[in-house]
Amino acid sequence: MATTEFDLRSPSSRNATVVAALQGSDGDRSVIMLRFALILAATSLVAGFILSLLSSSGVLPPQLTLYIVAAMVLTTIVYGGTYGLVRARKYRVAVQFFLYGCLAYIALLVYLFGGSSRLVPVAYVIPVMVAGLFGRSRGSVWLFVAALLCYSVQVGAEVLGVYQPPVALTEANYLLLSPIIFIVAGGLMSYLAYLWSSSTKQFLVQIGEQSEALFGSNDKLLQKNIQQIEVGNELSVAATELLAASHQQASGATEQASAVSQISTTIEELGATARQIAISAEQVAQAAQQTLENLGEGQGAVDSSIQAMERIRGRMRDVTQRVLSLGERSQQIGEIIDLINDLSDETHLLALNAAIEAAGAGEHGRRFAVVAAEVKSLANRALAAAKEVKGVIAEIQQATSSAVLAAEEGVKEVERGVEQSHNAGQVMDSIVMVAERTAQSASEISLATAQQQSASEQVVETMREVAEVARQTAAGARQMSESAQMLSAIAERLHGITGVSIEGGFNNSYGNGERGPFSMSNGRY
Amino acid sequence: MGELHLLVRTARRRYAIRRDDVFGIHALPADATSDPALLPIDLGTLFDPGDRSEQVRQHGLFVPLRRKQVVFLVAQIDLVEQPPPLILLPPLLQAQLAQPWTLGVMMFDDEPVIQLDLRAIARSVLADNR
Repeated sequence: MATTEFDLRSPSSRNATVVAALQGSDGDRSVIMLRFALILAATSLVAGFILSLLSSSGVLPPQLTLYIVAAMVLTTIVYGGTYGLVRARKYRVAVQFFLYGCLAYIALLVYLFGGSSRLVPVAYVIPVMVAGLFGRSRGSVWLFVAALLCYSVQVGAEVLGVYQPPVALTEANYLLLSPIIFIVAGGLMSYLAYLWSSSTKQFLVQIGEQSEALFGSNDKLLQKNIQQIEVGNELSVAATELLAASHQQASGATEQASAVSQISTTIEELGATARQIAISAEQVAQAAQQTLENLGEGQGAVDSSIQAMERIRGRMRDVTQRVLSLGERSQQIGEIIDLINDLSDETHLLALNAAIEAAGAGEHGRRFAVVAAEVKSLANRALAAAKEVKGVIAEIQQATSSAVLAAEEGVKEVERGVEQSHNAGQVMDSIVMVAERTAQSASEISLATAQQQSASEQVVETMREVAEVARQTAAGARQMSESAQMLSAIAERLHGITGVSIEGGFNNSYGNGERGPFSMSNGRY
Repeated sequence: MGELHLLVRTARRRYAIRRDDVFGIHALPADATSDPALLPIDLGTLFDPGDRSEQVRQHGLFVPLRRKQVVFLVAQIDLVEQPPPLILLPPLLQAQLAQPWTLGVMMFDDEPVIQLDLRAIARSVLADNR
């Protein structure tokens, strides 16, 4: 509990604070003492004023006024000293100063008003009770000892006859003073009782409030404990799941590392295959280039063949024309031969008719018949020759026709050869184009495979990094597993702790594990 | 001196004809087919449809009748000044012929050649051609 500083709040609120702090604060005690000092001083002043009036009016002895003033000064000093010490934060000294000052004031009153045989010594109880109620426990004992000592001294002095009242008071004076003293002492006692009762009431109220607050705190603590149990359970479940997940992650990371290793091996094989493909593509490109060169030569040969075919076709056409011309000449010869044949035939008929006529003339026509026979013979020979020539001409014409047909066939063959040469040239062009495409494709394949090889190397490197990450992940998963196990153990411990608190009672608010005075297991609050 | 005969040749056969049956021997003119006074008859195909001569120029044996001249076309005509003896057909056989186109047979080069009555043939052809 914090040390209560001197404050000037209202008395009721201060009472509650002071009563609530009775057990542990000298400052609070000093405030109580200061208020008692104030009441004591005020009572002393009022009573002293009344007594002074009575003394000056002659009801009481006039010498009494001096002692009354001294008592008033004493109480003023007690109050002022107590106030100053409280202001100076010397609370324990202020309490002692007030109690023993009060004791001195009472001793003065006992000395002043009739000694120990009168009613006044009862007032010694007041500071003792104040000390007992509001002071330290042993302070009232010591104060009682001091009061007893004062009372004993005064009794001894009276017994020994040393004591003589400073002011001789009559019985009437005592009768007059007794109510005043009774009123003063009773007022102080009443105030003390009031203060104690109000303080006790306030204290109980505060105890109730604190109990309620404590119950509220306990409820909150109970709720927190329940939540803590639930959180502990959730934490346990989460730790279990985390443990399973970490196991699964570790297993997955291991499998991933294995898969990455296999992928790396496969990609390395793929890279080797890509290198082999690149070599093959280069060979294909070289073969395609060689094919292009050969095709260039072949294309030149085809062009030469086409040109030769064109020349042959021209020659064949020339030959055909010449043969046709020869055939036409043969036809002309045949026509001439036909004419000769006709002439021979006419001659033959003339010779026949002449022979007939000569035969009809008898002996006179004998010579004419001979001539006619000769003419007929010549005509027959001419016919035979013409026939023979015509046969030759027919053979020539047939040969010419055959030659023309052969030449035409040759021309056609040459044209087919030219066409085939053109087709061959086109095929060569197509082959050249295909070879160029092949060479280009081979170059592209070579480039692509080179890029593939580079990419596969990069992939292999990346896979190695991935494998390293997977191994790190596996290590992290193992660490996570260990952490999950630790977390699970913490959750078990938490669950155990909260379970004990419910069964054995709640911890006190100081968290030191000791059983508090309001523990539920005690069955009382 | 005996009667003159003509030995005519068709594409396949030879026939003997009396000289007196023929008025003239000439080559057939080009417009002979368009002349209504002439009736050209291929002698070879007259007796044998397969005896067709491919020879373009043929010799004509002109036989004048009362209205037209029948021209028998042959491939070749030769004069036979000394003909072999005519072997006549037997009288009964001759009497059984519906058309008396042949008189008998002559041997030329040891081969029998039928002698034709060309005028009788001309008349029959002309009569059939009406």
